[in-house]
Amino acid sequence: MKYAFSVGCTTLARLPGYEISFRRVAEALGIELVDIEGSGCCGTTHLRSID
Amino acid sequence: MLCFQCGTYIADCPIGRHVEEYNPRMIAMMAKLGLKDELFSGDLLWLCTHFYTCLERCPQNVKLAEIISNLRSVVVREGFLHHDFRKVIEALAEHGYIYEMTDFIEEEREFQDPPPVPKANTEEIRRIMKETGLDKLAGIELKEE
Repeated sequence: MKYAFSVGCTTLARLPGYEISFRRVAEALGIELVDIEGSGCCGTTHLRSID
Repeated sequence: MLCFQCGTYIADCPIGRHVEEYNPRMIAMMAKLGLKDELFSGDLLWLCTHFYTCLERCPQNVKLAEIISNLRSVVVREGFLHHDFRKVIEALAEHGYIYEMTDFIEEEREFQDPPPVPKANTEEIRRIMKETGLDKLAGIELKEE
């Protein structure tokens, strides 16, 4: 099973444990993660405030 | 209005714990009383980081973080954007992330084994900003690459 994966920015910069554990769990469950090329940050909490 | 000013949420608010002057009940009161200029001009409205603990704690199910989001949208439409938020948008246009991905972050990742920081497609992000008018709303100049 393949899933597209984007790590976002807060996890990337501040919560690396989330990403590491997710990658390991996916591996254990036989899920292949495909990193989305060029993906960045969605800016959600900030940008949704100025919508 | 559902709020009866109990203040339960503030006990668990990560901002309230560290910033003494942060009192979202003031935001609720100022909004109710229509004190627009006072509310729009300060930092108060912009301190919330949306941890959403207030939504879990409020006995009246007031969605305070959502109210703050909506108030900010109104403020922005009236032409006021807090300078810290402008910086966030600039960072997003420049790096593709709301933080700059520093060497320290790269090194940390190398040490812990996930793949290197993905290179964000900033050209695409800037195009979206331009088409949605976010650049004008935020009053920023988008650099062409």
